[in-house]
Amino acid sequence: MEIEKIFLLSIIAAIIELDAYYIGMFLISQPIIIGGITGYLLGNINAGIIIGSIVQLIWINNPPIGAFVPPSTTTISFISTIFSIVFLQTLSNPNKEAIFMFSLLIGIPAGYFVGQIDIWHRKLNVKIIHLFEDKIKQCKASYLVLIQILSIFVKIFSNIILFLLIIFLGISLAEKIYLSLPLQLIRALTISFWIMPIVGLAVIFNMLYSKEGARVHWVIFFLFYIFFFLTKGNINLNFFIILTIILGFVISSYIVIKTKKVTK
Amino acid sequence: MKKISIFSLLISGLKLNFLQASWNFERLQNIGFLFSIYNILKVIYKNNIDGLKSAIKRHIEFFNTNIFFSSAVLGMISRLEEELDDSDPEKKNREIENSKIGVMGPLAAIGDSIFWSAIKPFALLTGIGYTYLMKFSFESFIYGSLISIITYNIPRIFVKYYLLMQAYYNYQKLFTLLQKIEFQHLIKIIKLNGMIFLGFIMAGYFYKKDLNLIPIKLIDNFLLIIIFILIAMALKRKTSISNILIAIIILSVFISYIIG
Repeated sequence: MEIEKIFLLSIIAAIIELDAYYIGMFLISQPIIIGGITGYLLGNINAGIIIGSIVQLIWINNPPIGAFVPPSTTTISFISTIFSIVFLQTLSNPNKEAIFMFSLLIGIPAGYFVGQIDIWHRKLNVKIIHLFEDKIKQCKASYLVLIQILSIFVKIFSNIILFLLIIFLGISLAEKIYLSLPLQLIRALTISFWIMPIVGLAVIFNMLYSKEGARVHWVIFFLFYIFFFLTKGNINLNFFIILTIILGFVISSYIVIKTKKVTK
Repeated sequence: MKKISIFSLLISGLKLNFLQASWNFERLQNIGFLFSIYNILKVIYKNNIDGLKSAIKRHIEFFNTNIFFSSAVLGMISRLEEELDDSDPEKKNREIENSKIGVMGPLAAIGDSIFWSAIKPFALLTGIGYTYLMKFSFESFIYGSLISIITYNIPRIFVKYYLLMQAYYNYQKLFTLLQKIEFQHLIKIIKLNGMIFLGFIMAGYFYKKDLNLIPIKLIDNFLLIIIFILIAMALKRKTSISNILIAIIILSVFISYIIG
Protein backbone atom coordinates (compact mmCIF):
# COMPACT_ATOMS: atom_id res chain seq x y z
CA MET A 1 0.00 0.00 0.00
CA GLU A 2 1.23 3.49 -0.83
CA ILE A 3 2.83 5.29 2.12
CA GLU A 4 1.46 8.68 1.01
CA LYS A 5 -2.09 7.30 1.11
CA ILE A 6 -1.58 5.96 4.65
CA PHE A 7 -0.23 9.35 5.78
CA LEU A 8 -3.12 11.17 4.15
CA LEU A 9 -5.69 8.78 5.64
CA SER A 10 -4.18 9.04 9.12
CA ILE A 11 -4.31 12.85 8.96
CA ILE A 12 -7.92 12.80 7.72
CA ALA A 13 -8.97 10.29 10.42
CA ALA A 14 -7.18 12.27 13.17
CA ILE A 15 -8.92 15.50 12.12
CA ILE A 16 -12.33 13.84 11.79
CA GLU A 17 -11.86 12.24 15.23
CA LEU A 18 -11.91 15.75 16.76
CA ASP A 19 -15.64 15.84 16.03
CA ALA A 20 -16.23 12.93 18.43
CA TYR A 21 -15.69 15.15 21.46
CA TYR A 22 -13.37 18.09 20.99
CA ILE A 23 -15.05 20.23 18.31
CA GLY A 24 -18.72 20.61 17.47
CA MET A 25 -20.01 17.03 17.65
CA PHE A 26 -21.69 17.29 14.25
CA LEU A 27 -21.77 13.46 13.88
CA ILE A 28 -19.23 13.33 11.04
CA SER A 29 -16.84 11.30 13.21
CA GLN A 30 -19.27 8.40 13.39
CA PRO A 31 -17.76 4.99 12.52
CA ILE A 32 -19.95 4.43 9.46
CA ILE A 33 -18.77 7.72 7.93
CA ILE A 34 -15.05 7.24 8.66
CA GLY A 35 -15.35 3.58 7.54
CA GLY A 36 -16.97 4.64 4.27
CA ILE A 37 -14.41 7.40 3.61
CA THR A 38 -11.48 5.05 4.35
CA GLY A 39 -13.00 2.33 2.18
CA TYR A 40 -13.60 4.79 -0.66
CA LEU A 41 -10.02 6.10 -0.58
CA LEU A 42 -8.61 2.55 -0.49
CA GLY A 43 -10.86 1.32 -3.31
CA ASN A 44 -13.21 -0.95 -1.32
CA ILE A 45 -16.06 1.15 0.02
CA ASN A 46 -18.23 -1.91 0.69
CA ALA A 47 -15.79 -3.23 3.32
CA GLY A 48 -15.64 0.20 4.98
CA ILE A 49 -19.43 0.53 5.16
CA ILE A 50 -19.92 -3.00 6.56
CA ILE A 51 -17.30 -2.55 9.28
CA GLY A 52 -18.35 1.04 10.01
CA SER A 53 -22.03 0.15 10.41
CA ILE A 54 -21.28 -2.77 12.74
CA VAL A 55 -18.94 -0.67 14.93
CA GLN A 56 -21.52 2.10 14.91
CA LEU A 57 -24.33 -0.10 16.20
CA ILE A 58 -22.27 -1.96 18.81
CA TRP A 59 -20.87 1.22 20.40
CA ILE A 60 -23.92 3.43 19.84
CA ASN A 61 -24.58 3.59 23.60
CA ASN A 62 -21.35 5.33 24.52
CA PRO A 63 -22.12 8.96 25.21
CA PRO A 64 -19.28 11.08 26.61
CA ILE A 65 -21.20 12.25 29.69
CA GLY A 66 -19.33 14.11 32.46
CA ALA A 67 -15.89 12.65 33.12
CA PHE A 68 -16.57 9.34 31.33
CA VAL A 69 -14.20 8.76 28.42
CA PRO A 70 -15.56 6.17 25.98
CA PRO A 71 -13.37 4.16 23.58
CA SER A 72 -12.78 5.88 20.24
CA THR A 73 -15.21 4.25 17.81
CA THR A 74 -13.74 6.36 14.99
CA THR A 75 -10.40 4.63 15.60
CA ILE A 76 -11.98 1.15 15.78
CA SER A 77 -13.71 1.70 12.44
CA PHE A 78 -10.67 3.35 10.78
CA ILE A 79 -8.09 0.74 11.84
CA SER A 80 -10.40 -2.24 11.19
CA THR A 81 -11.27 -0.96 7.70
CA ILE A 82 -7.63 -0.41 6.73
CA PHE A 83 -6.54 -3.85 7.98
CA SER A 84 -9.43 -5.68 6.33
CA ILE A 85 -8.91 -3.95 2.95
CA VAL A 86 -5.16 -4.64 3.02
CA PHE A 87 -5.75 -8.31 3.89
CA LEU A 88 -8.41 -8.67 1.19
CA GLN A 89 -5.92 -7.24 -1.33
CA THR A 90 -2.84 -9.19 -0.30
CA LEU A 91 -4.08 -12.62 0.80
CA SER A 92 -4.81 -15.22 -1.82
CA ASN A 93 -8.32 -16.71 -1.64
CA PRO A 94 -9.35 -14.70 1.43
CA ASN A 95 -12.30 -15.55 3.69
CA LYS A 96 -14.03 -12.17 3.73
CA GLU A 97 -16.03 -12.60 6.96
CA ALA A 98 -13.08 -14.05 8.91
CA ILE A 99 -10.90 -11.13 7.77
CA PHE A 100 -13.54 -8.59 8.82
CA MET A 101 -13.77 -10.16 12.27
CA PHE A 102 -9.98 -10.46 12.61
CA SER A 103 -9.61 -6.78 11.67
CA LEU A 104 -12.25 -5.81 14.22
CA LEU A 105 -10.25 -7.67 16.86
CA ILE A 106 -7.28 -5.43 15.98
CA GLY A 107 -9.35 -2.24 15.82
CA ILE A 108 -11.12 -2.70 19.17
CA PRO A 109 -8.01 -2.53 21.43
CA ALA A 110 -6.74 0.38 19.31
CA GLY A 111 -10.00 2.25 20.02
CA TYR A 112 -9.76 1.55 23.74
CA PHE A 113 -6.14 2.72 23.71
CA VAL A 114 -7.12 6.03 22.08
CA GLY A 115 -9.69 6.37 24.90
CA GLN A 116 -6.84 5.93 27.39
CA ILE A 117 -4.75 8.53 25.53
CA ASP A 118 -7.71 10.91 25.86
CA ILE A 119 -7.59 10.44 29.64
CA TRP A 120 -3.85 11.30 29.68
CA HIS A 121 -4.58 14.24 27.39
CA ARG A 122 -7.18 15.62 29.82
CA LYS A 123 -4.70 15.31 32.67
CA LEU A 124 -2.15 17.18 30.55
CA ASN A 125 -4.75 19.93 29.96
CA VAL A 126 -4.90 20.54 33.74
CA LYS A 127 -1.14 21.25 33.74
CA ILE A 128 -1.34 23.47 30.67
CA ILE A 129 -4.19 25.50 32.21
CA HIS A 130 -2.24 25.97 35.47
CA LEU A 131 0.71 27.19 33.43
CA PHE A 132 -1.27 29.98 31.76
CA GLU A 133 -3.96 30.74 34.36
CA ASP A 134 -2.31 33.84 35.81
CA LYS A 135 -1.85 35.33 32.35
CA ILE A 136 -5.53 34.74 31.53
CA LYS A 137 -6.54 36.41 34.81
CA GLN A 138 -4.53 39.43 33.66
CA CYS A 139 -6.94 39.68 30.67
CA LYS A 140 -4.51 38.23 28.15
CA ALA A 141 -7.10 36.49 26.02
CA SER A 142 -4.55 35.14 23.55
CA TYR A 143 -3.60 32.52 26.17
CA LEU A 144 -7.17 31.20 26.11
CA VAL A 145 -6.87 30.67 22.37
CA LEU A 146 -3.41 29.17 22.88
CA ILE A 147 -4.72 26.57 25.36
CA GLN A 148 -7.51 25.57 22.96
CA ILE A 149 -5.13 25.31 19.99
CA LEU A 150 -2.53 23.39 22.02
CA SER A 151 -5.11 20.88 23.17
CA ILE A 152 -6.44 20.32 19.64
CA PHE A 153 -2.90 20.03 18.29
CA VAL A 154 -1.94 17.44 20.95
CA LYS A 155 -5.03 15.39 20.07
CA ILE A 156 -4.37 15.44 16.31
CA PHE A 157 -0.66 14.78 16.71
CA SER A 158 -1.07 11.86 19.15
CA ASN A 159 -3.72 10.29 16.91
CA ILE A 160 -1.62 10.56 13.76
CA ILE A 161 1.42 9.01 15.48
CA LEU A 162 -0.66 6.17 16.93
CA PHE A 163 -2.44 5.44 13.64
CA LEU A 164 0.84 5.36 11.71
CA LEU A 165 2.49 3.12 14.32
CA ILE A 166 -0.41 0.65 14.33
CA ILE A 167 -0.63 0.54 10.54
CA PHE A 168 3.09 0.32 9.73
CA LEU A 169 4.06 -2.05 12.53
CA GLY A 170 0.80 -3.97 12.72
CA ILE A 171 -0.05 -4.94 9.15
CA SER A 172 2.80 -7.37 8.46
CA LEU A 173 2.64 -8.81 11.99
CA ALA A 174 -1.15 -9.27 11.83
CA GLU A 175 -0.86 -10.86 8.38
CA LYS A 176 1.61 -13.43 9.72
CA ILE A 177 -0.67 -14.18 12.69
CA TYR A 178 -3.70 -14.57 10.42
CA LEU A 179 -1.86 -16.92 8.06
CA SER A 180 -0.77 -19.11 10.96
CA LEU A 181 -4.32 -19.54 12.30
CA PRO A 182 -5.76 -23.09 12.08
CA LEU A 183 -8.85 -23.68 9.99
CA GLN A 184 -11.06 -24.04 13.08
CA LEU A 185 -10.14 -20.54 14.29
CA ILE A 186 -10.80 -19.05 10.85
CA ARG A 187 -14.23 -20.71 10.98
CA ALA A 188 -14.75 -19.38 14.52
CA LEU A 189 -14.05 -15.86 13.22
CA THR A 190 -16.66 -16.38 10.47
CA ILE A 191 -19.24 -17.54 13.04
CA SER A 192 -18.46 -14.52 15.25
CA PHE A 193 -18.87 -12.14 12.32
CA TRP A 194 -22.22 -13.75 11.47
CA ILE A 195 -23.43 -12.67 14.94
CA MET A 196 -21.92 -9.13 14.93
CA PRO A 197 -24.82 -7.25 13.22
CA ILE A 198 -27.20 -8.93 15.68
CA VAL A 199 -25.09 -7.70 18.62
CA GLY A 200 -25.44 -4.17 17.22
CA LEU A 201 -29.19 -4.50 16.77
CA ALA A 202 -29.53 -5.91 20.32
CA VAL A 203 -27.55 -2.95 21.71
CA ILE A 204 -29.91 -0.45 20.11
CA PHE A 205 -32.95 -2.53 21.19
CA ASN A 206 -31.69 -2.37 24.77
CA MET A 207 -31.03 1.35 24.49
CA LEU A 208 -34.53 2.20 23.25
CA TYR A 209 -36.23 -0.42 25.44
CA SER A 210 -39.60 0.13 27.08
CA LYS A 211 -42.39 -2.42 27.60
CA GLU A 212 -44.69 -0.86 25.01
CA GLY A 213 -41.78 -0.30 22.65
CA ALA A 214 -40.70 -3.96 22.80
CA ARG A 215 -44.24 -5.16 22.09
CA VAL A 216 -44.69 -2.84 19.10
CA HIS A 217 -41.20 -3.75 17.86
CA TRP A 218 -41.94 -7.49 17.71
CA VAL A 219 -45.34 -6.93 16.05
CA ILE A 220 -43.75 -4.74 13.34
CA PHE A 221 -40.86 -7.20 12.93
CA PHE A 222 -43.08 -10.25 12.35
CA LEU A 223 -45.57 -8.37 10.15
CA PHE A 224 -42.85 -7.02 7.86
CA TYR A 225 -40.91 -10.30 7.84
CA ILE A 226 -44.04 -12.12 6.56
CA PHE A 227 -44.64 -9.24 4.14
CA PHE A 228 -41.09 -9.47 2.76
CA PHE A 229 -41.49 -13.25 2.50
CA LEU A 230 -44.80 -13.00 0.60
CA THR A 231 -43.62 -10.27 -1.77
CA LYS A 232 -40.17 -11.94 -2.15
CA GLY A 233 -38.63 -8.58 -1.25
CA ASN A 234 -39.88 -6.94 -4.46
CA ILE A 235 -41.08 -3.73 -2.83
CA ASN A 236 -40.16 -0.07 -3.05
CA LEU A 237 -37.98 0.13 0.06
CA ASN A 238 -37.71 3.94 0.09
CA PHE A 239 -41.49 4.20 0.20
CA PHE A 240 -41.75 1.67 3.03
CA ILE A 241 -39.00 3.37 5.05
CA ILE A 242 -40.85 6.70 4.92
CA LEU A 243 -44.15 4.93 5.65
CA THR A 244 -42.67 3.17 8.70
CA ILE A 245 -41.27 6.42 10.12
CA ILE A 246 -44.63 8.20 9.66
CA LEU A 247 -46.48 5.20 11.09
CA GLY A 248 -43.95 5.15 13.93
CA PHE A 249 -44.64 8.75 14.89
CA VAL A 250 -48.41 8.22 14.76
CA ILE A 251 -48.29 5.04 16.91
CA SER A 252 -45.79 6.45 19.41
CA SER A 253 -47.67 9.75 19.76
CA TYR A 254 -50.90 7.80 20.32
CA ILE A 255 -49.28 5.61 23.01
CA VAL A 256 -47.75 8.63 24.77
CA ILE A 257 -51.02 10.61 24.70
CA LYS A 258 -52.88 7.57 26.04
CA THR A 259 -50.33 7.15 28.86
CA LYS A 260 -50.63 10.86 29.69
CA LYS A 261 -54.43 10.57 29.99
CA VAL A 262 -54.11 7.51 32.25
CA THR A 263 -51.57 9.32 34.46
CA LYS A 264 -53.85 12.35 34.78
CA MET B 1 -29.35 49.75 28.13
CA LYS B 2 -28.25 46.73 26.10
CA LYS B 3 -24.63 46.59 25.02
CA ILE B 4 -24.56 43.12 23.48
CA SER B 5 -25.67 42.75 19.88
CA ILE B 6 -27.23 39.63 18.34
CA PHE B 7 -24.07 39.33 16.29
CA SER B 8 -21.91 39.03 19.45
CA LEU B 9 -24.31 36.43 20.83
CA LEU B 10 -24.12 34.41 17.61
CA ILE B 11 -20.32 34.58 17.59
CA SER B 12 -20.31 33.26 21.16
CA GLY B 13 -22.75 30.54 20.11
CA LEU B 14 -20.39 29.49 17.33
CA LYS B 15 -17.44 29.50 19.73
CA LEU B 16 -19.38 27.08 21.94
CA ASN B 17 -18.48 24.44 19.35
CA PHE B 18 -15.06 24.50 21.04
CA LEU B 19 -16.52 24.11 24.56
CA GLN B 20 -14.82 20.76 25.09
CA ALA B 21 -11.60 21.41 23.15
CA SER B 22 -9.53 21.76 26.32
CA TRP B 23 -11.67 19.62 28.63
CA ASN B 24 -9.75 18.84 31.81
CA PHE B 25 -10.29 16.70 34.90
CA GLU B 26 -10.01 19.64 37.31
CA ARG B 27 -12.59 22.19 36.14
CA LEU B 28 -13.99 20.32 33.10
CA GLN B 29 -15.28 22.78 30.43
CA ASN B 30 -14.11 26.00 32.14
CA ILE B 31 -11.68 27.15 29.44
CA GLY B 32 -14.18 26.37 26.67
CA PHE B 33 -16.87 28.43 28.41
CA LEU B 34 -14.57 31.37 29.12
CA PHE B 35 -13.32 31.22 25.52
CA SER B 36 -16.94 31.41 24.28
CA ILE B 37 -18.12 34.22 26.54
CA TYR B 38 -14.94 36.33 26.37
CA ASN B 39 -16.02 38.53 23.44
CA ILE B 40 -19.24 39.38 25.32
CA LEU B 41 -17.35 40.18 28.53
CA LYS B 42 -15.07 42.47 26.57
CA VAL B 43 -18.06 44.46 25.29
CA ILE B 44 -19.70 44.67 28.73
CA TYR B 45 -16.52 45.70 30.57
CA LYS B 46 -15.14 47.89 27.80
CA ASN B 47 -14.11 50.68 30.17
CA ASN B 48 -13.81 48.66 33.35
CA ILE B 49 -10.66 46.54 33.48
CA ASP B 50 -11.22 45.50 37.10
CA GLY B 51 -14.73 44.34 36.23
CA LEU B 52 -13.31 42.28 33.35
CA LYS B 53 -10.68 40.74 35.63
CA SER B 54 -13.25 39.67 38.21
CA ALA B 55 -15.53 38.32 35.44
CA ILE B 56 -12.63 36.22 34.11
CA LYS B 57 -11.95 34.92 37.62
CA ARG B 58 -15.64 33.92 37.92
CA HIS B 59 -15.72 32.05 34.65
CA ILE B 60 -12.39 30.28 34.89
CA GLU B 61 -13.91 28.19 37.68
CA PHE B 62 -15.68 24.82 37.32
CA PHE B 63 -18.11 24.49 34.44
CA ASN B 64 -19.90 21.41 33.12
CA THR B 65 -23.14 20.97 31.22
CA ASN B 66 -24.48 19.43 28.02
CA ILE B 67 -22.65 20.93 25.04
CA PHE B 68 -25.86 21.82 23.13
CA PHE B 69 -27.72 23.20 26.14
CA SER B 70 -24.67 25.22 27.23
CA SER B 71 -25.96 28.03 25.01
CA ALA B 72 -28.76 28.61 27.55
CA VAL B 73 -26.18 29.13 30.32
CA LEU B 74 -24.20 31.43 28.06
CA GLY B 75 -27.26 33.53 27.17
CA MET B 76 -28.41 33.81 30.76
CA ILE B 77 -24.98 34.62 32.21
CA SER B 78 -24.37 37.24 29.50
CA ARG B 79 -27.59 38.96 30.49
CA LEU B 80 -26.72 38.83 34.19
CA GLU B 81 -23.21 40.15 33.55
CA GLU B 82 -24.77 43.03 31.65
CA GLU B 83 -27.65 43.80 34.02
CA LEU B 84 -26.25 43.38 37.52
CA ASP B 85 -24.81 46.44 39.14
CA ASP B 86 -21.01 46.74 39.36
CA SER B 87 -21.11 48.80 42.55
CA ASP B 88 -21.07 45.69 44.74
CA PRO B 89 -18.67 43.21 43.04
CA GLU B 90 -19.04 40.63 45.83
CA LYS B 91 -22.81 40.51 45.41
CA LYS B 92 -22.54 40.36 41.62
CA ASN B 93 -20.01 37.57 41.85
CA ARG B 94 -22.21 35.58 44.23
CA GLU B 95 -25.38 36.02 42.17
CA ILE B 96 -23.76 35.02 38.89
CA GLU B 97 -21.97 32.03 40.47
CA ASN B 98 -25.20 30.80 42.07
CA SER B 99 -27.20 31.21 38.86
CA LYS B 100 -24.55 29.37 36.85
CA ILE B 101 -24.36 26.47 39.28
CA GLY B 102 -28.16 26.40 39.52
CA VAL B 103 -28.77 25.97 35.78
CA MET B 104 -25.79 23.81 34.77
CA GLY B 105 -27.04 20.61 36.42
CA PRO B 106 -30.67 20.57 35.21
CA LEU B 107 -29.64 21.57 31.68
CA ALA B 108 -27.01 18.81 31.58
CA ALA B 109 -29.60 16.25 32.69
CA ILE B 110 -32.19 17.36 30.10
CA GLY B 111 -29.63 17.73 27.30
CA ASP B 112 -27.90 14.42 27.93
CA SER B 113 -31.13 12.45 28.10
CA ILE B 114 -32.69 14.03 25.02
CA PHE B 115 -29.61 14.02 22.80
CA TRP B 116 -27.57 10.99 23.90
CA SER B 117 -30.38 8.58 24.65
CA ALA B 118 -32.99 9.63 22.08
CA ILE B 119 -32.07 11.92 19.16
CA LYS B 120 -28.56 10.59 18.46
CA PRO B 121 -29.45 6.86 18.50
CA PHE B 122 -32.60 7.55 16.45
CA ALA B 123 -30.67 9.58 13.85
CA LEU B 124 -27.97 6.94 13.57
CA LEU B 125 -30.51 4.12 13.46
CA THR B 126 -32.33 5.68 10.50
CA GLY B 127 -29.07 6.16 8.59
CA ILE B 128 -27.63 2.73 9.36
CA GLY B 129 -31.01 1.09 8.84
CA TYR B 130 -31.14 2.54 5.35
CA THR B 131 -27.61 1.29 4.65
CA TYR B 132 -28.48 -2.20 5.99
CA LEU B 133 -31.65 -2.44 3.91
CA MET B 134 -29.87 -1.31 0.75
CA LYS B 135 -27.22 -3.99 1.32
CA PHE B 136 -24.28 -1.65 2.06
CA SER B 137 -24.17 -0.07 -1.42
CA PHE B 138 -22.32 3.20 -2.17
CA GLU B 139 -25.60 5.12 -2.66
CA SER B 140 -26.98 3.75 0.61
CA PHE B 141 -23.84 5.01 2.39
CA ILE B 142 -24.23 8.53 0.98
CA TYR B 143 -27.98 8.75 1.64
CA GLY B 144 -27.74 6.94 4.99
CA SER B 145 -25.01 9.30 6.24
CA LEU B 146 -26.94 12.35 5.04
CA ILE B 147 -30.13 11.11 6.75
CA SER B 148 -28.25 10.64 10.06
CA ILE B 149 -26.44 13.98 9.90
CA ILE B 150 -29.57 15.97 8.97
CA THR B 151 -31.85 14.19 11.49
CA TYR B 152 -29.35 14.91 14.27
CA ASN B 153 -28.15 18.40 13.34
CA ILE B 154 -31.51 20.11 12.73
CA PRO B 155 -32.69 19.73 16.37
CA ARG B 156 -29.13 20.34 17.58
CA ILE B 157 -28.81 23.70 15.81
CA PHE B 158 -32.39 24.71 16.64
CA VAL B 159 -32.07 23.89 20.36
CA LYS B 160 -28.70 25.58 20.64
CA TYR B 161 -29.56 28.93 19.06
CA TYR B 162 -33.17 29.05 20.25
CA LEU B 163 -32.05 28.55 23.85
CA LEU B 164 -29.25 31.08 23.42
CA MET B 165 -31.68 33.78 22.32
CA GLN B 166 -34.40 32.84 24.80
CA ALA B 167 -31.93 32.70 27.68
CA TYR B 168 -30.60 36.15 26.84
CA TYR B 169 -33.85 37.95 26.06
CA ASN B 170 -36.23 36.06 28.43
CA TYR B 171 -33.86 34.62 31.00
CA GLN B 172 -36.37 34.89 33.85
CA LYS B 173 -38.80 32.69 31.91
CA LEU B 174 -36.19 30.14 30.84
CA PHE B 175 -37.24 27.40 33.22
CA THR B 176 -40.95 28.00 32.60
CA LEU B 177 -40.20 27.54 28.92
CA LEU B 178 -38.24 24.35 29.54
CA GLN B 179 -41.05 23.00 31.72
CA LYS B 180 -43.57 23.67 28.94
CA ILE B 181 -41.66 21.44 26.53
CA GLU B 182 -42.50 17.99 27.86
CA PHE B 183 -39.10 16.41 27.37
CA GLN B 184 -40.10 13.10 28.96
CA HIS B 185 -42.90 12.64 26.42
CA LEU B 186 -40.70 13.80 23.57
CA ILE B 187 -38.01 11.26 24.52
CA LYS B 188 -40.66 8.54 24.81
CA ILE B 189 -42.04 9.33 21.33
CA ILE B 190 -38.56 9.27 19.76
CA LYS B 191 -37.65 6.01 21.51
CA LEU B 192 -40.93 4.31 20.57
CA ASN B 193 -40.51 5.42 16.98
CA GLY B 194 -36.95 4.07 17.08
CA MET B 195 -38.26 0.70 18.27
CA ILE B 196 -40.82 0.58 15.44
CA PHE B 197 -38.18 1.44 12.86
CA LEU B 198 -35.83 -1.13 14.40
CA GLY B 199 -38.52 -3.80 13.89
CA PHE B 200 -38.74 -2.83 10.21
CA ILE B 201 -34.95 -2.81 9.76
CA MET B 202 -34.59 -6.20 11.42
CA ALA B 203 -37.29 -7.73 9.21
CA GLY B 204 -35.62 -6.31 6.09
CA TYR B 205 -32.12 -7.29 7.22
CA PHE B 206 -33.11 -10.86 8.11
CA TYR B 207 -34.90 -11.33 4.81
CA LYS B 208 -32.26 -9.74 2.59
CA LYS B 209 -28.95 -10.72 4.21
CA ASP B 210 -26.41 -12.76 2.25
CA LEU B 211 -24.38 -14.06 5.16
CA ASN B 212 -26.06 -17.26 6.28
CA LEU B 213 -24.33 -19.80 8.48
CA ILE B 214 -27.00 -22.44 7.91
CA PRO B 215 -28.11 -22.89 4.28
CA ILE B 216 -31.84 -23.00 5.18
CA LYS B 217 -32.58 -19.28 5.64
CA LEU B 218 -35.56 -19.71 7.95
CA ILE B 219 -33.54 -21.82 10.44
CA ASP B 220 -30.60 -19.40 10.14
CA ASN B 221 -32.90 -16.47 10.93
CA PHE B 222 -34.58 -18.34 13.80
CA LEU B 223 -31.19 -19.01 15.36
CA LEU B 224 -30.21 -15.35 15.01
CA ILE B 225 -33.45 -14.22 16.69
CA ILE B 226 -32.66 -16.47 19.67
CA ILE B 227 -29.13 -15.02 19.83
CA PHE B 228 -30.63 -11.50 19.58
CA ILE B 229 -32.94 -12.17 22.54
CA LEU B 230 -30.11 -13.67 24.62
CA ILE B 231 -27.83 -10.67 23.95
CA ALA B 232 -30.66 -8.21 24.70
CA MET B 233 -31.30 -10.03 28.00
CA ALA B 234 -27.60 -9.95 28.89
CA LEU B 235 -27.44 -6.22 28.12
CA LYS B 236 -30.51 -5.60 30.27
CA ARG B 237 -28.64 -7.22 33.16
CA LYS B 238 -25.88 -4.64 32.64
CA THR B 239 -23.39 -7.05 31.06
CA SER B 240 -20.72 -4.97 29.34
CA ILE B 241 -20.38 -5.11 25.58
CA SER B 242 -16.74 -6.23 25.81
CA ASN B 243 -17.79 -9.24 27.94
CA ILE B 244 -20.46 -10.14 25.39
CA LEU B 245 -17.94 -9.94 22.53
CA ILE B 246 -15.46 -12.13 24.43
CA ALA B 247 -18.22 -14.68 25.15
CA ILE B 248 -19.22 -14.74 21.45
CA ILE B 249 -15.64 -15.38 20.34
CA ILE B 250 -15.09 -18.15 22.92
CA LEU B 251 -18.38 -19.84 22.00
CA SER B 252 -17.58 -19.54 18.28
CA VAL B 253 -14.20 -21.24 18.82
CA PHE B 254 -15.90 -23.94 20.86
CA ILE B 255 -18.58 -24.56 18.18
CA SER B 256 -15.98 -24.50 15.41
CA TYR B 257 -13.86 -27.18 17.12
CA ILE B 258 -16.97 -29.33 17.80
CA ILE B 259 -17.94 -29.16 14.09
CA GLY B 260 -14.36 -30.27 13.37
